[in-house]
Amino acid sequence: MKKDYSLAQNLLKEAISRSEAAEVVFSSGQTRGVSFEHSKLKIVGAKYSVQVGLRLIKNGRIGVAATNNLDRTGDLVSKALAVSEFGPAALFEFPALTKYQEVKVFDPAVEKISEEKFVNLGQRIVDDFYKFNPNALVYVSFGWGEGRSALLNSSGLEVEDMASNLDFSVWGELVEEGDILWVGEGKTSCREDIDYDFCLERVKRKFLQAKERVEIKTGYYPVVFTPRTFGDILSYIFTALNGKMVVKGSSRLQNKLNQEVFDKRLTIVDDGLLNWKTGSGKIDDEGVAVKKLILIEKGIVRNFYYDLQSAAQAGVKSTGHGVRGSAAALGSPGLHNVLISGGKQTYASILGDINEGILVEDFLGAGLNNPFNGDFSMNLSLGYKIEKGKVVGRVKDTMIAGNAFELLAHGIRAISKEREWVGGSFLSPYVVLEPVSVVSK
Amino acid sequence: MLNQLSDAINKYKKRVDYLEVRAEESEGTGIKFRGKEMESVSQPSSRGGCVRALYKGGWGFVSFNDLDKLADKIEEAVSQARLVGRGKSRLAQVEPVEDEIRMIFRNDPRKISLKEKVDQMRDYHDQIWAVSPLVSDASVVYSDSFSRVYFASSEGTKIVQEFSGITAGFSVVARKNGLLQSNAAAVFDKSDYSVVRTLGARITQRVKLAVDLLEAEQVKSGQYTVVLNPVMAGNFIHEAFGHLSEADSVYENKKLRQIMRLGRRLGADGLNVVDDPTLEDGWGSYNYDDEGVRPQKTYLIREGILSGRMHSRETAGKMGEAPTGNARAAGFRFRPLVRMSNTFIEAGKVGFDEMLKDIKLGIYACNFWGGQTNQEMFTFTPGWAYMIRNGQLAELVRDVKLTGNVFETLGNIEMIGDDLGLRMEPGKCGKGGQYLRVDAGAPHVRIKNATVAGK
Repeated sequence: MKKDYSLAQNLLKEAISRSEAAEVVFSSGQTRGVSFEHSKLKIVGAKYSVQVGLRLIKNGRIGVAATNNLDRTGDLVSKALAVSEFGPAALFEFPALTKYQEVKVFDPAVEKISEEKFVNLGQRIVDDFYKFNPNALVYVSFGWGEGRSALLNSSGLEVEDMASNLDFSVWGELVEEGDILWVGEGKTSCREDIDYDFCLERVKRKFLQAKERVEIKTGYYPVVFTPRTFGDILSYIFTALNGKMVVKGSSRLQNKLNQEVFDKRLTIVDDGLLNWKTGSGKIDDEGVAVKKLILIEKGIVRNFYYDLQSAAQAGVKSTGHGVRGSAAALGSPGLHNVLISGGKQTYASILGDINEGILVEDFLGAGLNNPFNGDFSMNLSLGYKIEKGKVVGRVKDTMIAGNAFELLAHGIRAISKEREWVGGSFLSPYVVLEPVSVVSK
Repeated sequence: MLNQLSDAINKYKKRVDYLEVRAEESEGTGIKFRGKEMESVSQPSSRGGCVRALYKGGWGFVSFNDLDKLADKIEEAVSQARLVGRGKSRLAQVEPVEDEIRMIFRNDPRKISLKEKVDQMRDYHDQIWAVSPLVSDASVVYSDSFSRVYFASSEGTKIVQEFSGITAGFSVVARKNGLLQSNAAAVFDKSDYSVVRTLGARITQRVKLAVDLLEAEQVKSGQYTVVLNPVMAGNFIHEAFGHLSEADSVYENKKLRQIMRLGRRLGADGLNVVDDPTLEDGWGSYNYDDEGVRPQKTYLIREGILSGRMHSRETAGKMGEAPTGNARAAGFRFRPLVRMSNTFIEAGKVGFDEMLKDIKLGIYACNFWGGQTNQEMFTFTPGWAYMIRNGQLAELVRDVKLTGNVFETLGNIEMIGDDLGLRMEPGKCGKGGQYLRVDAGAPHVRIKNATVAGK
């Protein structure tokens, strides 16, 4: 890393001498993986990656260049200069060093976990699932590793960061003529605090609940969204709160700042400073300090989230949400860890209150709707019918439809007290929306 | 380079049943306009490699950037495979080959200046905004890439292949009174930059569609007779059926193997579905797959009967079927999976007008906005759709979603058109996190009792 760090420093020096401002990102990482497919240990693998990226401003325009070939960093400045001629106008300055809050995202123990451990654990899960249902197939995957990065810019910022990551998922599959059931559960964290057995038991429970097939008549019903599927509904709101969408005129919320747009019980906060959460970090990908940001407060739109460029376009400051998928990309606003406030009732009492409705575990086609206006219609890849407060079986060939903005304004029937992490960066309660259109074949 | 790879393999090959190395160098250009201005322009370059080892049926796989450390990585993949292997390695036999495939360009994008490419995209971008004041967002994206892939295996295969691709596309959002509607188009070619200049011809039509959709009524949910245009039908056959014919989802799944048994009737006599990586100039074509196997044309459905599937060497070996050369990887970061190439429904005999003639109330679904499948179930959104009333195309309708069970739907195909078109926009497919080039197509296809979700 030391050698690479001086490579980054030299690159920055050269870039500064040939442009108005510059930024260098160096990142390297390694992850390992163990996969069981069709109930069999299939593959153990490893990925090593390295990348150096340069972003500079020349004649007021942005130029970027990146490579993963460390022998060929010599022409990066020339390349970035060449594309800057056509690049977008830079409306921002690279941030200087500011105070930032440390957050725990690196545990050196993760990298030290052996392949054997996950080979054995995976085999135990496969064996356990076989006892539970010998006709089902199970897929288990573990991915773990760490990444290091250095961010340097011409405003004097020099920050190094390290993060570890552990990803686990288990899926069960039951195939019968005319009926394929796929049920999965997964968790991601920066350290090994994943409850593998919890995930396994969840998959089993969903299998049992899906055993009976029941019908539901087309109509309007209360629909229970799990933390995962409520996230699918909220994705329209996240798009509308994205500062880039706001400045481009594509957001339904663009003129709604400080207005009460949603139900008073809806509060959404982005918090990138939570220890061990995968969306956390002390700075964003552009070197701006990460802060907690209230997006929706008791139904009122409080903030949009911005990166440097979209913030400059909007005439505000970056909120520390600059995300760059790769060093070659210019980046755009993205969320860290999103937290949805819980309600007052228990999940059990919420279910108990439903005379006839649907519980949605998984959608098919969640990403297919118009991302802007909030109209959705989605196939239930796994959904259950609720009758008199109890889950009675699986419904198939059923779609639900509605508008996310309208339902979150006038259609929240209940929010559970209990909240669950989905993946490693989204915390949500169970939410009942009503009336949701249910279309059944 | 090739000799370097095979020398490294030779040192380790006795410790495993099979060993292969791929190395790749690539470079390209990317341009993106978004909203009202240029968003990014880049010329990325990349280099890296991967090792895959097989021992007693278990795989090890390591990818990396630093080719100088090849020996270490082979060592690591070998020990991974030895940790996994507990059974028997069964790869379908193929003859080792030595070959070099060089790219021959009709119009090499590397010889076109960055300025010309940027100006062309800016021009398209301006054209989109000029069509209507209701345009609220637009993006125009260009990319070209050139790569050279080296492959060597412990069986003596040594191949160098060059690949190139040029794509240009746009999407547009039109907005009125809080309602937003989108549309998109893309063009692509392997070797001819000139294809980029053909994109402009679609701008006015697609932007107008997005604008007209703002005034369209939401479609009413229900069962309809649906006519799919060639792009939509091609996507249907790729997404809903094609993935089930990729043997890696079937070969170790007894139940699915039973469902996908060869000889099973899936549709009417005239239904023929093909995957053909050898199609001349095909966007999804290639000379060797990522296991160094020469590919072949495979009939997946012949006259309505399930008649074949796509294989890697492992799935073919384990199922006792012939390898088809469909193992593909999206670059050196990934191990090969069984993938489609150019997948299409062969032409039938029915003319478009005849197809519409006796439909009292139906839907004409055009192009493809998105889709998802869950093996047997699918949900697709066309780019746009019209009602069919009394045998005639009628008004545009919005927010159409087609959903159903693939086997039922194949059985419900009642007419196949005479107008095969091969073009799957945007020409990419994702599986296991790997996006790579494919094409799909079909003639117009008519399906009875299709479920449409809308209002």
